[in-house]
Amino acid sequence: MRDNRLLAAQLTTALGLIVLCGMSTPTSAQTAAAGASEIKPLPPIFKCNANLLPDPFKGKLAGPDIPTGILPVSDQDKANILNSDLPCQERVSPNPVNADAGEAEGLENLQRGFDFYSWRTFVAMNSPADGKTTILQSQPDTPTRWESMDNFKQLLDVMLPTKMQPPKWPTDKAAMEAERDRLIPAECAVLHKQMPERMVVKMIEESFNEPFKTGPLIDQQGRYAIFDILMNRQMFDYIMKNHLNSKPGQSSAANAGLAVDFPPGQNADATLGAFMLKVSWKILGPDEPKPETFHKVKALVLMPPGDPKVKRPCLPETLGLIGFHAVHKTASRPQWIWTSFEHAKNVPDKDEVAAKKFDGPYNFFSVNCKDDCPEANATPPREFWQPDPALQLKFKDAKFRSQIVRETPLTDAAKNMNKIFHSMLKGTVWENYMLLSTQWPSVFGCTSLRSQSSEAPVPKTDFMKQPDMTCSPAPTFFANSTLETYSQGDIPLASSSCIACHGNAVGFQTGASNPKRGEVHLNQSDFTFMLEKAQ
Amino acid sequence: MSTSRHYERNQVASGAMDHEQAGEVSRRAVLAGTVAATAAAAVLPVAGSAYAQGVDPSSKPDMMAFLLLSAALTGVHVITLAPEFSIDPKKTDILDQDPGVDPINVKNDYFKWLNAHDAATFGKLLQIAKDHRQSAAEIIAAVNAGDDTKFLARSIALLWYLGSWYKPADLQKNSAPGKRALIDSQVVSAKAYTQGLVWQIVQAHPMGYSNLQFGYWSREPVDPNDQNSRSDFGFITQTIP
Repeated sequence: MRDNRLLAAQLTTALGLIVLCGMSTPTSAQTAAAGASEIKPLPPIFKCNANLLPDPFKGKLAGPDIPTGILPVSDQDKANILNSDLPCQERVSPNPVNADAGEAEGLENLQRGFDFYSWRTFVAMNSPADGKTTILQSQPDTPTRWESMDNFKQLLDVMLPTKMQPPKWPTDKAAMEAERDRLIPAECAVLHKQMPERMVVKMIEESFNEPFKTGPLIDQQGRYAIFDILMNRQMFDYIMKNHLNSKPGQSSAANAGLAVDFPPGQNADATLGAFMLKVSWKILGPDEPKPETFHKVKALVLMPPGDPKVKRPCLPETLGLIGFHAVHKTASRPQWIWTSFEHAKNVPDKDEVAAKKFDGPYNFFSVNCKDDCPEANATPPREFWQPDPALQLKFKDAKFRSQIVRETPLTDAAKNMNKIFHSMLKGTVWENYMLLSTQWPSVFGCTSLRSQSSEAPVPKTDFMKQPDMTCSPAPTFFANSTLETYSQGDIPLASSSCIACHGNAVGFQTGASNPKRGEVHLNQSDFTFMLEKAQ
Repeated sequence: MSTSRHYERNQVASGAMDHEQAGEVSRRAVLAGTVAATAAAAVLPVAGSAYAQGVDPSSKPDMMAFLLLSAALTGVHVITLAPEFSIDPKKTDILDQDPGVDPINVKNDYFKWLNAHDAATFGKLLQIAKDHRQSAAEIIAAVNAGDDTKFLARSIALLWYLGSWYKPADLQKNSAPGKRALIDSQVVSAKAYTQGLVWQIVQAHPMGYSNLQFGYWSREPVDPNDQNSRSDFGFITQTIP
């Protein structure tokens, strides 16, 4: 890593010297140098990048201030990062690239490596889907690559009722559109025809009720936050190949011995592997104080099922992105890598609240509270959780607004990494989003036990790793204020930890209990709850 | 107690770093080792050590000494006690190695706890570990040479295994022949509650906390000594006689 970086630095320096010295360099060399720092549009379809791209920022980020010399990021480094597309696999090391610059080692440097990986992922995911413009040209409503139906598919378009034909994911656009149209709910059909490119969000309980049914999140305008889950083509293909898209398929005799093992991303053969997303949206109404700060989409929102006698409203809404989980399985991290971003103005940190240092307005916190607001991080009144079709997506208790505080403030290192990327994305809507952290399985001896061996039999992931399949997630606890609002904190097993929680995910496979001697029935679903949504 | 099995160990502390050489031992032996570690009462002189004062968890030599001491007392490999520990082959002295920082880092909590409760004796124990860092057997022998170090060592073994603090004085009172009184203990922290080594070794979990997989109860436990198994237990037992 260090050698390559040095080589790159030397080449850059050499080119720079040639230009600075006014040597009679060929025009083509100058063009090449200029071209190398050009920000280019990313292709519409994800292409993972297996090349080494260490973070070029010299100095210790885990301090209150960014070391001098990092900002502004050079054009060359900026181009390298923004043009790099999705990483196929993380490349991290406990050893700092610049130990003499005071960079931390060990866990801190590894976390930095994962956070850099996360920002690269976020940029690649949210670059324009058109293949013609760069992320620096993004407008708030520019469709992103992850929203393209070529790259990600919504979970509820995969887990279909058994009375329907199984899902398909063709590769040509016309067939993809035909499949999308086939899955448009009847309630949304008319509106969809008027503007077919709108995103369709089919709400179920998990679309408004947070994990462990801890309650909905209500914004400062009194509306529900909305959640959605998506998978990439590699996950879809694995699900379809193994008939995991339905309960009968999962519970079939043929699947009794299947150890669900989604394909990992690998640098070795430049494969992307399985990726899943969970996003949170805020409805942007005319009363939104700063709508231009959100990445937004036009959407049709089908309200969740309730009284079967009442028709589910399909609402044309503008949705603003407020939370973004990107989860990637890699050969070296079979517990997946858990990236979490959110809108910078969702909530204040508890430290900021204690010091009354506010920088609002916030999406889920009022700075004007006296005695008239709910307790911090209190769930809404239980009797009103279920959305009322008559109120559309306004919360029934008209006075209630969530008063949410971030329990675990961002680390200095995460804040500084955010400042660096924000400087690169200045002037775009994406400077309003911040990385919270990245959770990753930290014990190398545990994660690499078998997963990296290309000769390992299927399943390549070691699902027998007792006592702790989670391999000690770092950080131990991790929550997004919009997606794990009510399970923030640091109480073992009660507070949010992506890996620890998803390590319990199962599907509908049979035969988990009482196996024959030597026969293992795992009934695990490889860290995803998606399979539980099969019908 | 010259017949203690601990005296049969050689180079345990240094060997503990090489998990490729995990020894042959059963889970029963692991637990027996624990009992022996807490019960052994050999009296051997400590060879002229100057006991250190003011030990510091952020000092690598002090933390390494604590890990070597703990590995000798618990019979559990250093890499399990400090999951981010790795050997730098350029450093020949084990005390110069980096204990690493893991996200849970319970070793720091235990270090601070011990330092807060009996800094003087804890300092003595760390000095013993430093002085005898090539041999767990020698560490055990030296620890057992004095009642203060012996009973604090027992408390340390129990701390690692159970995540609970048993006062050395209570252990000493209870060590008289025929004495079997219930000893009060204190769970050190929520973290310590979940990290007790006993759970890893018996492959179970404390009440209310589990990272074990769904359906784990239907499978046979993994032999900690089976190097071919796909468990983590190859990392354990090197230091067990």
